Amino acid sequence: MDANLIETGTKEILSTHGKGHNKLVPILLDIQESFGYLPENSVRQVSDFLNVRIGQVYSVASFYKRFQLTPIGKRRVTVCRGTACHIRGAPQIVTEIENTIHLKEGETSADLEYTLETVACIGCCALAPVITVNKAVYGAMTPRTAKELFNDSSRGDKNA
Amino acid sequence: MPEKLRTILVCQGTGCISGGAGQLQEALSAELTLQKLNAVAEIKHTGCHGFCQRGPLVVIEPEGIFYTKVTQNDVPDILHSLRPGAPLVERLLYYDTVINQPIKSFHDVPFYYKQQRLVLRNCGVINPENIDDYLDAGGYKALRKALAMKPEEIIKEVKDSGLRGLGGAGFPTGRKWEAASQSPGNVKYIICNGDEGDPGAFQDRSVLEGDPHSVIEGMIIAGYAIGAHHGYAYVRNEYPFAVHRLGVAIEQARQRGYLGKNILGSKFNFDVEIFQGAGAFVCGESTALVLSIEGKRGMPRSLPRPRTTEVGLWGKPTVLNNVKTYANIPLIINNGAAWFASRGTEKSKGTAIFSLTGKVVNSGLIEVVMGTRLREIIFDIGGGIPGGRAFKAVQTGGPSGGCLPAEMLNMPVDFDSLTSAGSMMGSGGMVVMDQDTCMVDIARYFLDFTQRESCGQCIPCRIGTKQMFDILDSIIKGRGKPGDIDLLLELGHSIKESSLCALGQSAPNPVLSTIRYFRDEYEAHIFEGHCPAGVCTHCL
Amino acid sequence: MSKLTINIDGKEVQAKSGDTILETALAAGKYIPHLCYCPGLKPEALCRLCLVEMADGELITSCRVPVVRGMVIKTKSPAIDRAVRPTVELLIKYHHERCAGCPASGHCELQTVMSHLKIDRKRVRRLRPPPAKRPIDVMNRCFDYDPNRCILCGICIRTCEAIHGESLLYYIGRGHETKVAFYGDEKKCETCLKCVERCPVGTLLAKNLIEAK
Repeated sequence: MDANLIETGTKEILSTHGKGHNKLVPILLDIQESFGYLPENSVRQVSDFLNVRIGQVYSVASFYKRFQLTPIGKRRVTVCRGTACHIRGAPQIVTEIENTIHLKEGETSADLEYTLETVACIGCCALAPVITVNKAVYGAMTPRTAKELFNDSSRGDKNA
Repeated sequence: MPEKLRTILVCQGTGCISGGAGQLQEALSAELTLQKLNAVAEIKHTGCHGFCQRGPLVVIEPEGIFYTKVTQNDVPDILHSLRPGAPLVERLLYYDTVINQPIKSFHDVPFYYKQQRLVLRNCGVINPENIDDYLDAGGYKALRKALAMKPEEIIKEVKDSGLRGLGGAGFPTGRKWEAASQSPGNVKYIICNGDEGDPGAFQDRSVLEGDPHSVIEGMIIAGYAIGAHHGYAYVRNEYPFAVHRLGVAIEQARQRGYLGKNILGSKFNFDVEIFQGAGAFVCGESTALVLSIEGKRGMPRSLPRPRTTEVGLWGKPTVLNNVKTYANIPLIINNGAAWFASRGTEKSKGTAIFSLTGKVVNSGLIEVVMGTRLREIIFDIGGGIPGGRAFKAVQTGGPSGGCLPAEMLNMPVDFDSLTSAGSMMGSGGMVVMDQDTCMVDIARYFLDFTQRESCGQCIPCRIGTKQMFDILDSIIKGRGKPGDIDLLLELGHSIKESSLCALGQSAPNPVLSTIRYFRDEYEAHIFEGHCPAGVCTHCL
Repeated sequence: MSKLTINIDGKEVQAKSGDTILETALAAGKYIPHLCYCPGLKPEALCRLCLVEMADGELITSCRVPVVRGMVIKTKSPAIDRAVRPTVELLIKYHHERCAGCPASGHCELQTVMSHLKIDRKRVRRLRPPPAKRPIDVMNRCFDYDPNRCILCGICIRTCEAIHGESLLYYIGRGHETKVAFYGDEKKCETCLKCVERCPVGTLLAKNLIEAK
C-alpha cells in the first residue's frame, strides 16, 4: 500500500481519537479496519501521538487476535471454529477450502487475493457450519458448497 | 393517520441477516407499496427472534403468524395473505412433525411455548433502533422509578431478588453492588461485559442486537445505585451489528435525556461509552477486561488482590456485570424483588438463557426458568436429535464447562447443579452431541481453544493446556499411549489447582468431564486404535 | 516494624509484619520453590510454584500473601505436590537446553527447584515434546535473549520498569508463543544489564558469554 496513503489515513484516524492510553486499542482497531493490517509506519504514528513506546504498541497488538502485522488478502475468508460448527463439520470445511484456494490456515496468498483464517466463534451457531468472506456470512456449509463458493469467484464478493 | 392493522416483523438478527433478511425486508417494503397495502400494514425490523435455524423469520402481528425460511420469492404471497379472506402461506408455516400439522402462530410452536422469555421479552418484538418502541414496551419506567428511590433501596431490591451474575460465575449481583457502593471514593465505574468469547454462545450478542436499551437502562440504574457516572459497554469487535445497534441506542437515549446530565430532571449524571474488544477470550475475566480497557494486554492479576468492586478500572471501584444481568435489572425494579425471586430454584433465581445448538432439531436462542430439566430443553424445546439418532452428551459452559451424559438429562439447570456435575453454567452455550460425536475429539477441540487463548503468563496454563492438547491430539490420531488417561488426569488436576485465573482453573473441565463419563471412548482410541463414533479418521 | 510469629511446617518462625510468607520462610532458611519472585520487585505469582497449604487446606501463592500473626502453613503436603510437581516437569520438558554447557548452570533457579523437588527424569520423559526451537534474539548490542530457555518469569521486565521507570522489554505474543523482546526500542537501552544479572535461568546472556560458549 502507498506510504502516503497510509500516513494520511492514519492521521485522519488519529484526529478522531483522544490522547489517553486507553485509546490505544480503539485506534489500532480503526487502523486494522482501514488497512487490513497494522503498517509499521502507522504504528510509529500511533506511538508518537499517544506518547507510548513502539514496543508497548506491539506488545498490546500481539496480544489480541484481531490485529495483524502483515497485509491481508482482498478476500478475507474466515471459517468459524465454534463448538456447533466443529461438531457439524467445520474441520472438513477448512480442509476443503485449503485445497481449493491453496492456502493453509493463517496464510495469505502471494497475490494478496485471499487470506484464510479461523475464528473462535462468530455467534451464528444455529447456522453451523459458518464461514465469512469479508463481511458476508454463509451458513450451513458443506465441503461441496464451500468448494463451489470459491470456484465461482463472483459469489465471493457478496456484500463485500 | 389511522392505526395500521398489521405489523410485519422481519427478524434482523445476525443469523437471519446472513440468510438474506436485509434484502428480504427491502423486497417487502417495495412490494407493500406496489400492492398499495401501506394503509393496511407496516414493516418493522427487529432483533433476534430466537429460532435462528429457521431463519429468515417473519412474524405478522397481532396474530403472531410465523413464517420461517422466508425468501424474496415469498414476498408477493405473504402480502397477498394480508387481504381479507386470503389464506395463509401454508408452505412457510412451521410444520410440527409430532401432530403432523402446520402451526399458525409462533406462540403455539413447541420451541417457544415451553420458554419463559423475560430477558428476551423485547427481542424479536421491538425495533432495537427505535427508542419509541422500547418506551411503548414499558422501557425506562424502571429508571424513573429507581431515580425516585434511595440507592440503598435499589441495592436491597436487587439483593432480595436473588439475581446472580449471568456471565458464568454466578456471584450475587446485589452483594457486588453493595460492595462497590461502600467502597470509598467519588469516582466509580460501571462496566457491561459483552465480550462473549465462548465458542457456541451468542446470547449476549442477541440481547445487544435485539434490545440494547434494556441493557443501557440496567447500567444507568446500577450507576445510580453505586454512585458511578460513567459506564463502559465492552463488546466484541466480531459483533458488528451489536456494536452498531448499541451505538444507535446510546445516542437516542442521550437525545431523550436518559443518558447525560441531570437524567430525567434528577441530579444524577451518567453516560455510557462502547469499548470494542479486540479478540481475547481471557478478557472475560474481570481484571483482564479492566486492563484491556486501560489499553494494556489483558493478563489477569493473581489472587490475593482487592476485588474489582474496590480497585477496578483506573484503580477505582467498579461494578462489572454481564449483558443479561443488566437486562434483568429493569424487570426487578418494575416488578419487585419478590416477583423475580418467585421464579427459579432456591439458590438460582430468574431465568437462564442458552444458545441451543449442535445436533438438535431446533437451534436458536432460548430462555427458561432456572431449574428446568436438561431433557425439557433438549427434547421439548430443541425437538430432540435429528435423523432419529441417539443423544450422547450435552456441553454447557463452553471451554470452562463439561460434557454431561444421558444419565444427567433429568438434572435441573441451575448454577449449582451444573457445577456439581463437573460442568458449569458459563455464559450460556449449550451444545448437543449425538452418537456421531467423538468425545475425545470434543475434549481436544476445547483444549485447542484454551491453549490458543491462554494469555501465557502462568506456567500451568501456558504449558499445561498445550501439553493436554498435544496428548489429546495424538490420541485421536491413533498414537495414544497406555498411561495417557492418568497423565491427563494428573495434569488436569495440577492446572485446576495451580493456575492463576479462572480460564486456567477451568480449562481442564472438558477433559476431566469426558474422562469421567466417557472413559470407554478414550480407552477405545488408545488401546484398540478405534474411534467408536467414527469421527477420528486415523482410528476407524 | 513489629515482629510476630508464624508456624511453618510445625516450627515457630519470627516474621516482620508486612513481609510475605515466602520472604519469611526464605529468611528463616526454609526454601519454598519459586522462579518469578525477586527481592525488591512486586510479586506477580506467575510461576505458581510457591504454593503453600493453609490450615484450612487452601493452596495459596506464598509470594503474594503477607504474614498474619499465628498463621499456620505447610510448605510440603500431598496436595502441594500434586499441584506443583507437574508444572515443574512441564517446564523442564519445554526448557530446550541441557544444563551441561549452560552459562547459568550452578546458579540456576530452575536447577534449585529441581533438586529440591527431586524431579524424576522418567516422569518428564513421558510428556509430549515441546514445539520447535525458536531463534535466539540478538537485537541488543550487549546481550542476547534465548526464547528456548525463557520461563517467562517477567523479572527482566519488572526490573527494567523498576530501574528506568518504564520497561523497554515487553511481552510479545500470547500463550505458549509468548516471548520477551524490545520490539523496536532496543536502541534506547542503557545497558545497565540488571535484567541479565537477575535472569534466574540464563535466558538473557551477555554477548561475550554466549561467544565463549
